[in-house]
Amino acid sequence: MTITDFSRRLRAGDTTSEAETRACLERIAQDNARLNAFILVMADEALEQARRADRELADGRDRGPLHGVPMSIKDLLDVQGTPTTAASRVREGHVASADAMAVARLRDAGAVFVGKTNLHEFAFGTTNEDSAFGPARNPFDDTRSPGGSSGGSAISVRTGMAMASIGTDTGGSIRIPAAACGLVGLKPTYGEVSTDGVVPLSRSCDHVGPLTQSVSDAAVVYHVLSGRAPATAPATTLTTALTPAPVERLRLGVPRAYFCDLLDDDVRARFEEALDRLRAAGATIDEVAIPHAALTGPVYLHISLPEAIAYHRTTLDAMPERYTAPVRQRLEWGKYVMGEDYVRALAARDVLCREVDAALSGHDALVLPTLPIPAPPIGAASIRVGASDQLVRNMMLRLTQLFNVTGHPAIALPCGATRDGLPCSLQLVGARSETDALLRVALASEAQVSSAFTIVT
Amino acid sequence: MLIMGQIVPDAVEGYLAGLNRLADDVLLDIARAGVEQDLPLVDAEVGALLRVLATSVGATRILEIGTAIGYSGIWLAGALPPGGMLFTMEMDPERARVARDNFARAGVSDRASVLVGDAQRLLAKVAGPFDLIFQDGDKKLYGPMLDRLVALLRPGGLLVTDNVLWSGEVVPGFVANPQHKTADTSAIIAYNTQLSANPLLMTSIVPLRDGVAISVKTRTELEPLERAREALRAADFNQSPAPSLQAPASSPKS
Repeated sequence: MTITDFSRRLRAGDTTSEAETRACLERIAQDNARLNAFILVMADEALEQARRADRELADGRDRGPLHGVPMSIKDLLDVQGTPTTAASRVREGHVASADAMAVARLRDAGAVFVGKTNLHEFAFGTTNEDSAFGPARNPFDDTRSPGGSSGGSAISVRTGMAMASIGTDTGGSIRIPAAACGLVGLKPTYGEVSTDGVVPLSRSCDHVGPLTQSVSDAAVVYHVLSGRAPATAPATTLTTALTPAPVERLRLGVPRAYFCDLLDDDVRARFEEALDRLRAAGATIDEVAIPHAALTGPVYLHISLPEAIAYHRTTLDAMPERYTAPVRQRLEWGKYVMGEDYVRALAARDVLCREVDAALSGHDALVLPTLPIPAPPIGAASIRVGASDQLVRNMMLRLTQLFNVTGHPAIALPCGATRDGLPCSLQLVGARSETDALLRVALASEAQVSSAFTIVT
Repeated sequence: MLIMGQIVPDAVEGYLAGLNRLADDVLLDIARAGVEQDLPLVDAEVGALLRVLATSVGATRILEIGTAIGYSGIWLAGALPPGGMLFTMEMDPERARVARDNFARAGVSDRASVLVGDAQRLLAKVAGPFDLIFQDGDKKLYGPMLDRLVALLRPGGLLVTDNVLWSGEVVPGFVANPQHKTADTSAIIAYNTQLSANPLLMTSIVPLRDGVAISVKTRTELEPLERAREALRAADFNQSPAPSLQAPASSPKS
């Protein structure tokens, strides 16, 4: 059930927050042992929150579209009174003394927290394999990764353990698991959602955002997270106030060089079909170029690694054995980035920002795939892509991390499945500080590319 | 300082010494002088190990922390080809002078350079990469220096650390009456943990004499970063951002 459907039915008296929260907790009890989506299940607190939400509504207090909505929170954000593990033994003994700003806003908006979700340790990875709590598993095929780092968040929403989830995205960590699990994942414009109370990975690339079942739901959660929803919305604005952009007037730019160079055959086919559907609905699709896109990885590494090691240095020296080996390895690289190369990366970041702006000029959004491959098998270091073998890590980050470097808002939308039934995803990228405009394009596109696609889990 | 026979029994040490044909008269002389002055020199077995290791990695640039009177330096310098260089750091100017004399006696003055001063400060000034680094300085500084030494090492290069078993005192309860300062012992215990946990190093500890840790800087671990660095340095930003290939469209306003 989407947030939008739930909100309507809740106020029509067809369901209660307690009933839907209980249903989520039952799904967790049923499937979490297999999928490992949750690090902490907050069953008692959630039911109490849900009953309070139901009482408030009965008393005439309506907190708006998230009132009574059971949600999960990536275990990288502080929820008062619970440990924020970051899926790492390094964090043993931690208990959050206050809610993260994003969590506080959800709580004020009436959301119910069913638990804290599994992630790639310290969000420093894209597969959710390296976690002190064990790997999370893809609901479509539990031998495969759910994507990461917000893997548990994606699983929880995909399987009905939560109606929506909050993730973080430093190189693609919301959009990648959304793509691998057939969901909508929104990375807003950099800085729009507070990262206070979130364990940082790379402060200048970190974003907080929602993983949801629909674009409308993403818009609703985004407006609460960014503090732009009224504290008590009238019942008439239970769904997003945003309307779809008129699809027949949409002008989209597709940057094929680099972004379509290395794609799994089925992913490529679904992407081209999505473009065909958009064209058939009247959208114009232009070829655009981001000349230095291939520098994204080097720039990202030279910015994110020093930022990561600056945060982790003390614990890395004091308790290196508490990190999982692959995460520790990548953190160690941070010690070997030279100042002059960091400065080069900052200069290149400016160039990339201008190039993305230029590609967006005259367009409502850029359109490209989210993930070049379907969800990879757990434990695979490399994977066959077309005619060559590629490193899984490079493939996972390849199409998303540019927009962490530049700060442009980006959203992942389901657009069909591979012949093996694994989800494929389309990414739309908008102008900076125009997240609402991007959401309107996404609403219009979703109707064309996701409607023909039924998820089977 | 070192309690003989604690780790390798005396009889076995004697047997090893009898087989060692690498020491020459100058080295034997210096070793005798070292014993007379109670200086903590490596012995001929560790010396031979250093020369074998330096030769095996084809060392042309070697760094040593803790020259003393140049005994281990001669073993190391003896592995260098013409044009190779050993940089060795010594805090005490008098010992450094003796070391220079000994390098002259051993005929390696042309490839051994003694740097006098605080090694932590000197390390900030030397430039890598080195093929082999021999750490035999102040035990309390082993840990704080490790990152810098690893950074100075080439991939595939060796970090060799002496005294890592510390007469066996690093093993809790093994030595009934510890002779070493607790602070030094704790520092070495922490250092050994750091060595084994460092993902850039692969380490094996050889229980020869006072324990020698041999760590190789792994070749592959930094490759992704090195490739990224090359790409970044090679980037050409002279071309301006390419505009859209198509004419601008108006944004939907409804």
